[in-house]
Amino acid sequence: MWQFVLRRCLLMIPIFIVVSIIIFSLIHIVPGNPIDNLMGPGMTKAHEQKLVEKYNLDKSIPVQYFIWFKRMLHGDLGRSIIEKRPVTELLLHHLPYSLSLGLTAIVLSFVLGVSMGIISAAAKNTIFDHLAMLVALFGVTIPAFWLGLILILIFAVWLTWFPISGSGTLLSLVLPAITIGLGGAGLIARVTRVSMLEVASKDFIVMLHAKGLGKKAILLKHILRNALIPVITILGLRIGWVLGGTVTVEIVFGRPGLGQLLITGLFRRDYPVIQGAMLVLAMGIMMGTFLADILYALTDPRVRDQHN
Amino acid sequence: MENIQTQESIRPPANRWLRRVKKIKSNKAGLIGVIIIAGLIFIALSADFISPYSYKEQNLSIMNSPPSKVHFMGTDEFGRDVFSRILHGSRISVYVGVVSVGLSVFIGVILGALAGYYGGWLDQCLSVVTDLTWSLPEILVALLLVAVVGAGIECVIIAIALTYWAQYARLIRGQILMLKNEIYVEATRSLGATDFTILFKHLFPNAIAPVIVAATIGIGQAIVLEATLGFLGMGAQPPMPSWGAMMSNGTAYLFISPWVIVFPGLAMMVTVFGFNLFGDALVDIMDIREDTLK
Amino acid sequence: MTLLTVENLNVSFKTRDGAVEPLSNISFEIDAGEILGLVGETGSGKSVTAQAIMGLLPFLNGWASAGRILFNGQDLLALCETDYQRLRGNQISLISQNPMTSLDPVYKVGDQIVEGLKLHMAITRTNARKRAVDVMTSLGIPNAEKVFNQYPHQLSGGLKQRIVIAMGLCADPRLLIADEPTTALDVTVQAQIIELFKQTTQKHHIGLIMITHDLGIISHLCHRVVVMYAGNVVETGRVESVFTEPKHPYTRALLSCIPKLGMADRSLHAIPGNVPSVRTYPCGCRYHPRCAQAKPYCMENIPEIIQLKNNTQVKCHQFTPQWGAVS
Repeated sequence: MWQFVLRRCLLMIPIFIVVSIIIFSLIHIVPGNPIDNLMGPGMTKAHEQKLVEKYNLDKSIPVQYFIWFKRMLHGDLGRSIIEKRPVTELLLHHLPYSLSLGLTAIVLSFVLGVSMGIISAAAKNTIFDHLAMLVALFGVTIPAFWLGLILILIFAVWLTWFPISGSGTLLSLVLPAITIGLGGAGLIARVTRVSMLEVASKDFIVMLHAKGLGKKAILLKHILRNALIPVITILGLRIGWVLGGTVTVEIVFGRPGLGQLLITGLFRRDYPVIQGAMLVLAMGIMMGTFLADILYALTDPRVRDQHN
Repeated sequence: MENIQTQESIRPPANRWLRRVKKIKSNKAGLIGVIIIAGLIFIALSADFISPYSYKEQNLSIMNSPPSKVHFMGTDEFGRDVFSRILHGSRISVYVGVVSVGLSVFIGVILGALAGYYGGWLDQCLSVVTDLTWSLPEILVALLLVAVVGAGIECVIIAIALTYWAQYARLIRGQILMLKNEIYVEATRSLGATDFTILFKHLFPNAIAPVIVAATIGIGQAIVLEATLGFLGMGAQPPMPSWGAMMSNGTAYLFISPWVIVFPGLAMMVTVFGFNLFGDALVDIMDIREDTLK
Repeated sequence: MTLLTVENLNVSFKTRDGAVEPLSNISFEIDAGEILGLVGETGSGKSVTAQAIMGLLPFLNGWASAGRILFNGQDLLALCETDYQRLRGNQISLISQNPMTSLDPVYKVGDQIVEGLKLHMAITRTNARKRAVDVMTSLGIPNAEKVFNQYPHQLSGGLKQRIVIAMGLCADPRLLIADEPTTALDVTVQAQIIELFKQTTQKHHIGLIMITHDLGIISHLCHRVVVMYAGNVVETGRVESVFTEPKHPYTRALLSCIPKLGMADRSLHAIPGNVPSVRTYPCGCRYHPRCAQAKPYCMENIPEIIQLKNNTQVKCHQFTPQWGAVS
């Protein structure tokens, strides 16, 4: 098991390097002179020389990358052009809001999705099944931002149960988490249902009946355990999709998280901020995938012995 | 030559399409999808004729008025008729959806087919890119591309196309891998056919089916992505009535005139729903095994 | 003392194209301490019979449409599910046919054996584990302690099959049904297992129904044999009598198919035709299309089960008094 974990850790390093190269190249791919792109408002020619020095723009690109990478490892991601604060500081300030939202959304997706999927499979082809799958379909197709707006309309404006926007309180977490969570739950519910039905028709289930096990024990101890394997796989693959929802949802609900940082950075062409936010988001997705892989290996013993 | 193999995709074309037409008639969900899509195309084409008002004519005296007999879906903050704007907005959605997916499929299918057929380093590269774009959220990929390419409707089309092409490449690559080892390929090659002929005349028609299905659902996805980008301010510029931009502008007036947000969203959902239903029906009609789509 | 009596059992299954009846009018019995062989080709309904006795039909879209299954005097078909669960794996155990697919891939094999034990006995986990390891060792599993902690995918087919047999033997059942338990094993291990079955049955006075298509195992192990064809029991009797003097044309044909030493100069014998599928069972006697002695009468009339001497039963028109008149 530990070998598996180690192998996965080591695999993340080259992926991280590739991602960092892409993010680094942003300034150079974007149309326009990198120097002009880095000039903030109110800067003059005099500042240009300082910028060149600071961002090493006179050196060759690979060298620039190495310097940038090295600085990144030390926690230095440059300064925001607009805010004039260190990017790292901005990131640390905004990160907790995204983290709390993202984690809540994933847990919500999983719990809601798996429950819906189990009940759907157990009550196959009944009204509940069709209804649940319809809701799941909606969850998958509905755009997150619109769902967020509708939820605000119903629960914050008309019913005033929850605050419209903001952060810091537990209540302010509910609507955004549901907005993202519903999409993820929809996906998980559909996969769970299919998986449960598939496992239920396998030979070893009949053997479990032959041993004298009751239906409930078979369902919860054996069918569910086996059925969760593809669910966790999908979750791992699509965790980025679930987390991507945080970007737009933060805008809708006015949460000062990484998504908001990224979008405002994009608008203001604040490249150090864009790079920093993208880097952290990419790392978050890689971590999420990694954890999902570990969970996958814990659930399915066959995976532990496979050599990638 | 007798068809020894029973693989669905290798039957003579005529019989295949005949059976498919029969199935279309019996699949009710698919029919609803077709009706929705046909309706959408009709609206997009005839928006100028059927919309009661102009989409950009402002009338500040009636701004933010609720749905009424005069303005079926109310007006927005500039007094513009929401219903007319939605009708015109369908043009943008259809345009962006179809063109971006078309572009995406074009790039993806060529690269994917070559990768699947020739293998080697091209295939390896493709796998890496596919894995990267598959696990990253599409919104992030699209934002990254928009940062590079710029905002505006053409840029959005390119960004969306580049976000999704890997998906189609992967699909057709899988199909080609499966089909290129069939006996009839070897037979054709021994008769002197070039790689080009084999690839495009023989393998393509058989391999393209899952891609068509994915593309249909993909149009729905692209429309949502365009709306999301529009909502974030990166899409079509005013006064063009992109559904996403309409909802973005309407956010500020959520308390006063929620209909500005509700109706475009409903329009979008019905559209996406239609494409999804049609795509699901296509899976059935074209006898495609569901696991080839994953 | 009769352990199990199957009386006029009919079994049906629901399929996409309607109901089918794979078993018709099955009757046989087995005593405690007896080994009964159930022999027939694939498709004859042997496994379905096992499933019916175990009460697994509802989980396979099947049901018993007629007849009784009496276990120690109790009609199993009238049992409610809860009571049946108490019997399964406890008093009646099944060793199933497919070791590859009979084990749950996400649990250790040892734990799966212990699961059955703890379900039916008041036993501590330590004792259950010890008992499981003992049974595993007696089945010839090397390093039983190590194997206990392994997962199914880490074991060979032969080992898996022995685990499945261990699961069946562990819980100390009164009746054991073994469905092709030695197919995946090589001959030496097979011999070992057969010997073990023999000893266990004698020692604990268990009834064993051995389902197989291998006539060699039947002759070596079983006391009595039930021959099945196309969902019917065609002949029942003591192994010695049936094998030396087979009555039913099918039994005779089956036995003549076995190659014997010293017949190098003759070609192998095969029964012409194919085993009919459950939807195309022939009218009248189901064997008549392939029977050398068939007459038109056989196609029109279903044969009765006729008692012969030596405690043999046969389902064939030849043994009725009227045979002379119609042939």
